[in-house]
Formats: sequence, structure tokens, C-alpha cells
Amino acid sequence: MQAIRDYAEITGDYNPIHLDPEFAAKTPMGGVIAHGTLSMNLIWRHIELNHGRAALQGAQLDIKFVAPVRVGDTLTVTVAGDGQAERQVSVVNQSGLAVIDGVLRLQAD
Amino acid sequence: MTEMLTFERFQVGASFDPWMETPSPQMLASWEKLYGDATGENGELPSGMATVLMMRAYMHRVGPRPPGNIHARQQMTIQHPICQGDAITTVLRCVHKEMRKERRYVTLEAQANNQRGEPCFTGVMTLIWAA
Repeated sequence: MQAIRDYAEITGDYNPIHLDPEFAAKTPMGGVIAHGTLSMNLIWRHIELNHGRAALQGAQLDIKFVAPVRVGDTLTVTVAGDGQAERQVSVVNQSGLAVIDGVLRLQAD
Repeated sequence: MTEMLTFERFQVGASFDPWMETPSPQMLASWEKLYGDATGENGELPSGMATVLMMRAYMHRVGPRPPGNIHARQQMTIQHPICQGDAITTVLRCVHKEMRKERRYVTLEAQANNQRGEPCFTGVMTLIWAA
């Protein structure tokens, strides 16, 4: 929950679906969910760690938020198709469920 | 008091006022706390700060928003590194809206330039609008 609060602060996104358990429980999400881009940024971080920051110049990301991220979830980034122009990218939770799915195009390896 | 920005009030093709800011030391410290990486030795910010700047522009310029909107899809292109001290101006524009399976979908395009007019990033946000 602290990460969600910190991300709310850095982005200014205080949507109660992220911060108010009572409000969030009454939505179709059924409870608090993390900001989608909080998890999406893990993809940028993954590429920077594995390929260097310069690798992201010209990078194109196209993802869908396919499942909610709940408080306490552990997330892992997976990128398939190393070296290919278009790579499948996912962020999965501790149960192996994809919370983000999409493609990443890098200009050069 | 400004009227709530409901789905009906989005005008496809219309831009919101630009949002300009320079990432603050506090923002960078918060980023490092969240993700563990920091500004490079050459002053380049982590690439994900582009996402933060886009979201901040959205928060400041697209509203007042009904509570409970859902971020469904995100496209993003990193065009130029953002460095410490850069003043980033982001403009958001509604490019599409539609009802789909009783859900209100709104698509916003973001374009951001630095103080030299260099394009830094573009984004396309697809949101399920709450009201």
C-alpha cells in the first residue's frame, strides 16, 4: 500500500480506486488496485537494467492493463523475443497471472 | 465551480491547456524510493519519468474527473532523454471516445517537448470513464 501512496504522490493521482478501500470495494474492481503505470514503469526499468538507458531512445510500448494489481502483489517483468524488433512484454504477479500484456519495439539492441 | 468532466463533455479533437513543469528533486527522490534507480551521471532521468510527467499533465489538465476511472491501455514512445532541469511541456488531446459494452472509453493523446522544442515523448491513454 505504501508504494501505491508514494505513486499517488509523485503523479498527483489520488483516484480513490487506488487509495480508498471503502470506495474501491463498491467498484467493479472490488477493492483497492495499484495505478496501472506504477506497474508499467517496471518495464522501462527492466529494459534499462538489461540493455542500458540509451536502449530506450525511440522505444515504443503498447500495453493493456489486463488484470488489477492488488496490495501485496509481487510483480515480475518478462520480455520475450530478445534481439527481435518487436518483443512480447508482460508483467505477471506471484500466481503467474499477467497483469500487463503488450509489445515493445526497440530501435536497436 | 467547474463542471465535472463527464464522458459526454469530451470533445474529440479538442486539446487541453498545456502543462509545463520541470521534474523536481522531490519527484526524483520519490522515483528512486519506488524503483531504486536515479538520475544518471550525465543528468539523464530514468526513462519512466516520462510516464510520471504524462500522468501529472493528465492530473492537472484533464478534469475535474469523476472518481473511479480505469486506465485500460497505454501506448508510449520515448523520443528524447529528459534531463535534470528540463522544462517539459505536455499537451493532451482527446482523439476518440466510444461506448463499448456499456462502458465509456476515452482515448487521450499526449505530446511532450522540452524547452528546446525537442519531442521527448508521446503517449496514448485509453481510459474507461466512470461517468
